[in-house]
Amino acid sequence: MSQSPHEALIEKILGDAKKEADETIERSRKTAQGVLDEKLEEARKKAEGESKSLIKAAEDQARSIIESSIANSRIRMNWMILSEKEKIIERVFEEVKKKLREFTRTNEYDKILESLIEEGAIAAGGGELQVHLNSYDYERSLALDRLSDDVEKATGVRTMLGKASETAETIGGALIKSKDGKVAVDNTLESLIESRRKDLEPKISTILFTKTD
Amino acid sequence: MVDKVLAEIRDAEKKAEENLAEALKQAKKIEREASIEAMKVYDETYAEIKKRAREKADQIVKKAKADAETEAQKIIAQAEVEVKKLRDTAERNIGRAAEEAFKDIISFRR
Repeated sequence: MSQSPHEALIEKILGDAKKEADETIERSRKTAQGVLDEKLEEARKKAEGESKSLIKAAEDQARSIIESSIANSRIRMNWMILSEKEKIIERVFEEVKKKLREFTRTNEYDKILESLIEEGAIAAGGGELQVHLNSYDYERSLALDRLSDDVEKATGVRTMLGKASETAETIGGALIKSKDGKVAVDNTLESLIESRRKDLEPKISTILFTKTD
Repeated sequence: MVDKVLAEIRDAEKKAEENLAEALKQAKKIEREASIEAMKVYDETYAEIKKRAREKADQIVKKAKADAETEAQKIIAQAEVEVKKLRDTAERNIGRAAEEAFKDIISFRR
């Protein structure tokens, strides 16, 4: 059965309206999708930009951690080596003291002791001087009169050397003091070691740490 | 008869207008909801990317700390080897060094 003209018109009115309504909704769906896509892209760009900076900062921090650790370890390594060298060099000086102690028991030492007394007395400028010795050397018979003359000749000052009543705590050598105590010259073997230490250390180091095989 | 036809056409037009109004209402609702959804998507996407970046950054630093520790241990192990070599070499020469120093001190005059 065919439609009457007014039925066809009604169908067209309703059909057009439906079409327009569908198109409106479709347009708004597309707009909505566009808004979503735009926001997604915006968030992605912002976050990726900030993430790039974050990663770069982490990489810089990582580099710094490694470099600093290596530098500190190298400092520690050098310190370990230096500390070991110092310990060994100190052992050498202890060995030297032992040798000097043994040497003070030989006749050869007499001349050295007298020479140390004379040099000390000259350095003190002569005069009335007391010679402090260790208890072992105190018992030695020393030519103090002759040494006094030699000092007098060298300084031009009348000199009298005498053994001090107090002994000195030393391996050997002598401590020369003026009677009033104002002048003191330390010519003990320990003092001699200390005065030579700075020059001796590099030489000792060369001997110790140079491979000989 | 004509009146009836005209009434039917007016009803159809009214229904068409109502349909369109409903469609517009729906369209606005879609866009409003999309706007809210877009903010949510923005926040979630931003947070997710940043979270991944922070995790990666943490991994980089963590790995650097482990690498630094490994390097440090290698250097210290090398130092221990060097110290042992020094000790061994010195042990062979200690007597000679002491003898040389002893001779120097005995022969030295200030």
